[in-house]
Amino acid sequence: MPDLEFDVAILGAGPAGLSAAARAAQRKLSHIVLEAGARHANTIQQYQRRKHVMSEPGLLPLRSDIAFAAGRREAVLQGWEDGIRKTNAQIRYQAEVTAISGAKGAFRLALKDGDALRAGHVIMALGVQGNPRRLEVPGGELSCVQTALESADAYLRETIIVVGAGDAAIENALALAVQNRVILVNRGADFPRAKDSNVTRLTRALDAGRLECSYRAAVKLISAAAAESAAPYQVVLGSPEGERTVDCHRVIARLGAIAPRRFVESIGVRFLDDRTDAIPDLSPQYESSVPGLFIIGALAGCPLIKQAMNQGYEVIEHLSGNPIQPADHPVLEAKLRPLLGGREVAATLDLIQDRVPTFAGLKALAMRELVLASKIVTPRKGRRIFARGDYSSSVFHVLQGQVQLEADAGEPMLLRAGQLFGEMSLISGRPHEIGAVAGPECMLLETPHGTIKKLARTEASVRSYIDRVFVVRALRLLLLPRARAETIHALAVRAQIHSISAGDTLFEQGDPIDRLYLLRSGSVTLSRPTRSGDGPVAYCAAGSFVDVAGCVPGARSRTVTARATVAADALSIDFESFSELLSSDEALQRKVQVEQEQQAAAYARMKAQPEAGDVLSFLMSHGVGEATNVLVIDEQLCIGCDQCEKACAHTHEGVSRLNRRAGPSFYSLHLPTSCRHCEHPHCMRDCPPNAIHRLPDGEVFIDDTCIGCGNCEESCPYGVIQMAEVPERVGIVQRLLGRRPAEAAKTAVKCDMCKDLNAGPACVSACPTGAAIRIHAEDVVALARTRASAVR
Amino acid sequence: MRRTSWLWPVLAPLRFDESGIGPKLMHESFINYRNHRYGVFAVALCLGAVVTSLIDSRREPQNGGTWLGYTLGSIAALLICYLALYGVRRRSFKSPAGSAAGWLSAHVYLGVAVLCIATLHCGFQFGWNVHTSAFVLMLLVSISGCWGVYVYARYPGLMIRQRGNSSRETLLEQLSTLDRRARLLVSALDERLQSYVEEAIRRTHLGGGVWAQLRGRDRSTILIPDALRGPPFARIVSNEGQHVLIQRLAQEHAGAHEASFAAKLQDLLEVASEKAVLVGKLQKDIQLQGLLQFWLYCHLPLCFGLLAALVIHVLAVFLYR
Ligand SMILES: Cc1cc2nc3c(=O)[nH]c(=O)nc-3n(C[C@H](O)[C@H](O)[C@H](O)COP(=O)(O)OP(=O)(O)OC[C@H]3O[C@@H](n4cnc5c(N)ncnc54)[C@H](O)[C@@H]3O)c2cc1C
Ligand code: HEM
Ligand code: SF4
Ligand code: SF4
Repeated sequence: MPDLEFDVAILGAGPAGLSAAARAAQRKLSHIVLEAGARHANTIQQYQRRKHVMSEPGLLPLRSDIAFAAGRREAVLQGWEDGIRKTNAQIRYQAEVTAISGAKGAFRLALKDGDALRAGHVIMALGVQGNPRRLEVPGGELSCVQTALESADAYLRETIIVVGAGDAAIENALALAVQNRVILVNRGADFPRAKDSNVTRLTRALDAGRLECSYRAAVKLISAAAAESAAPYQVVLGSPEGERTVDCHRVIARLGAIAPRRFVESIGVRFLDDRTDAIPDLSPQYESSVPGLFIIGALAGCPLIKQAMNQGYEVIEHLSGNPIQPADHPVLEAKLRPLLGGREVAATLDLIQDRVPTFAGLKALAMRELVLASKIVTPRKGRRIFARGDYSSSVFHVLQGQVQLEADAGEPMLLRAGQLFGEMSLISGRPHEIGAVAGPECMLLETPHGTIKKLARTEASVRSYIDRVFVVRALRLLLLPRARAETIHALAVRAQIHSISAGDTLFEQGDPIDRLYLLRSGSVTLSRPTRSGDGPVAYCAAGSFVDVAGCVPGARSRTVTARATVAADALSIDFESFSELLSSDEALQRKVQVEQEQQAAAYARMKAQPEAGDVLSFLMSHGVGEATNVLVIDEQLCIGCDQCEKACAHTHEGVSRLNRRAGPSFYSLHLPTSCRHCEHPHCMRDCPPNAIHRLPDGEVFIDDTCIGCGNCEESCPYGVIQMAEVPERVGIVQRLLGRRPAEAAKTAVKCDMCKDLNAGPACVSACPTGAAIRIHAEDVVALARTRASAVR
Repeated sequence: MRRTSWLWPVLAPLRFDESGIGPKLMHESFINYRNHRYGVFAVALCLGAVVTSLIDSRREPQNGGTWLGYTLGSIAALLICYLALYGVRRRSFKSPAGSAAGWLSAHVYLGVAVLCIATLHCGFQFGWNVHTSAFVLMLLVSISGCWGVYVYARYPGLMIRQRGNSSRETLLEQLSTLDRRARLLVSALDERLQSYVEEAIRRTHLGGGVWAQLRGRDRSTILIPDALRGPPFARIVSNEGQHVLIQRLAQEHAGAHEASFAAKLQDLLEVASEKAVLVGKLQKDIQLQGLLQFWLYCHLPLCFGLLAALVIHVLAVFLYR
């Protein structure tokens, strides 16, 4: 039988694919949507039941033949189903595409079920969710095996086997264990991939016997059970102890997903970088490096539904020979207005790229995204852009005019068009070391940290440019404020950058002293190994020199080990160049001497008080090293009145963002589950609408554009973000008039340090005994020392 | 960025700084708050009052009706109102009026100062009247307050030590682990023992009503079946410290004929004894937590009584002089 033939084949019936199909139907292009699942929009089908789907970004108009507005998941899905019918979009379900060959005009697509078809063009709208890994065992295809859990409440008094060792498996198992018998099957001996908070919860539940866990175990076989048995299915579990058979009602396999990238690359599509979250290399019309093959939606790096739908529409218009401006064009135009001066948007973007070397290597599409996420600001002459000591959440590029950076020592630095600033704070996650003031006719591009970090992760050119600027500026600011530019550049080319993950060492006791390390981000503890383990003697935060005390003249090897408490990043210069500089620069000599004295005294004090070292280790092992503001309760003072939680709930729509009882304790210091306002907030890493921000005082907070996707909850290693329904407040009078609060959407909620209250965090100010305080990681050594001497 | 309202020092008379976000570094209890600032203030106030009274008493004997009496009385009344305002501060979580710890510090020290000033004010003239009843109520409020301070200062540390540095949640989990072990061990033994152990687990009692919590007695019970007359005649007896269970297991152990049987019973005995200790700890913890809160239920009603008596006292003085 000859293969069927189409003008376009669209892979994936998510919002992007559906919108493209609807447009193709309107344009009378012969088309087919190939969808792996049994229903349309698999990703949305898997949202939690009744989830409120948001239509961010608010400013962006929707351009599609299928309707979409914010509303319940069920309503959105129904709307799309109606849209499919009305527009006569052609979809083939359960048609996973496994291979694509051929070229523009004659692609050949092979389906999993063995069929094949031909298409002139291919549009990939596969999303990023990937296909869930299935249980590849006999019986794995039975209906009792599922790869997702919609609602744990749906099952009661069943025996359920959960397979997997990641967060999803643990969370499902714990939720199901409330009213079912649950056996968690883990292939390994522990849970290295899961978050600490989940492992703790699981361990507790296991200790209390609320569920079972089989380690080094695997499902061998699933089959229907004999008629008289307690449950409809039978599962054979293999483990080192041997095989056993369990009667069960269902098996939930949470084995992760197979990311679509491998498949996409196998067709020949080039990605911009090797890192996992890199996006494919696309033209402004979303055409990939394979001519005739287009990529849209989440896979193209657009994480929101509305964007995905707009792209579906645009790509079909392009294919049918009707080039249109992208839907975000007016938004972009409005953004760029101060810079346009009669130019076209595209020309203006080019202009920015010509001026700003950071972005010189970006593709047009990435450049659009960047500017859409950024702001153009025009501060008046003399306005302070940021002050020294402010936390920042953006990086700036000078587009026009001048900016003056004012350091403590040395000349103020003058920046001109094209130059970048705010990069120190971007890398260290700490407050600005220097202030910035606008010069005459100043125009700046202000880009949020999240956007620029993502760009730096996926675009090597951006990454290396920022690093180069950082090295020069850091050397100048922190080491050699009075040196000539040539000296610094000579040094900078020899500087190295070291990235270490938590628990790894920068150097160890006994290593030769051959480099001087400056910590760029994260923190390290310096310790002297003792018989009972590490004995910490000092803590170094980003922006400090590591172990200068050890670098006294004549010293040959390190007396301490420098170990990262969280992922850290250091800059180093070789010791010889440093010594040379030292001998010729008196100011530097003085500076180094002061630091040496301070560090040496600090080591000795800590050494004399080993308990303080223990407290420090405890705090560090729970991530306090990256906190800018962490709640610490003194158990000797806490009377358990829960005023702190009450205060939190009262000031935050009735939902407390703090759990006083949860969390570890040591030496009667207690770290409740509450946001630490990390230096590099993990939660900000992957927020589709960029709803998480940081204020100048350091508060990390979530604004009301949150779409409730749960990414931040997953990324936070401290388990402090909850997905909660924040009820609408309705006044008593309105209630009496019969108004009821609208049904609330589940969104991410967390501590915002009571940013809107003048009195500061309510938990602290409500504590009657002074047990609750919030401290910065820098105060940790002081805390450890007072604690060690206070404990009776 | 945050500002602290300039108005607040006026509205909250005894609040000088304290924005809750200042450079307050390490833990500081309400007693030590800002180097005993309010303590110093209170002592100065009392000393001033005592010295003035001493000087004045040479001129005329002290009582509430002299100019000094009026002054001291007004100060005491104002202070009492200020002390009662703490109850308002405690409930207004958005209040920019300084931290609760600062307020409590002031509350405690000035509360004691009120005692001194009011005593000087009344000039030790007591009788069976509303005036004295106001004084007595104030005395009771202060005493209950002092009890509270003692409790706050001492019990948290005591609780940590007696729990042996684990949290209550951990102890509760240990308890359920022990119960699970007991069930597992006894599942290999005969049915009578099984139901015995099951009964002991089921009727283990923690906490309870207010009195039960405060008395901290182990009110666990156990159902003793009546071997002769059958289930309707079973008795429920106290199983405090698991002693009935332990005794019964010990008897069985003594009468055991088989080594494996005896070993199981030995294990069960150990589990039961461990559980007794654990239940004791938890009981004590609940008791101390109850005591941490109980005194406030005396302090607050007494405080309302005092405010009422104070109003009557003042009215009486001005109307029926
Ligand atoms: C929990 C959660 C909540 C979210 N909430 C919101 C929100 O409120 N608002 C919002 O704007 N965005 C939200 N998002 C993001 C939004 O879901 C995505 O941006 C959007 O789904 C992307 O659409 P897409 O069409 O690119 O991909 P998807 O919607 O992921 O669709 C891809 C489709 O392709 C199919 N497919 C995959 N591989 C193959 C293959 N090989 N062959 C055939 N078919 C295949 C899949 O089955 C799937 O149906 C949320 C995301 C999550 C995870
Ligand atoms: C004499 C007049 C006093 C009055 C009118 C008074 C009033 C109050 C009030 C209204 C509360 C708040 C209770 C609540 O909100 O639940 C309170 C709490 C308290 N008072 Fe007093 N009080 C007085 C004296 C004292 C004294 C003398 C002391 C101690 C020396 C004291 C110690 C306390 C303490 C420790 C609290 C509890 C704090 C907390 O847990 O938040 N009080 N008092
Ligand atoms: S939510 Fe988690 S990751 Fe984000 S700042 Fe707070 S503690 Fe850090
Ligand atoms: S408010 Fe203070 S004393 Fe009360 S529970 Fe919280 S930390 Fe403990």
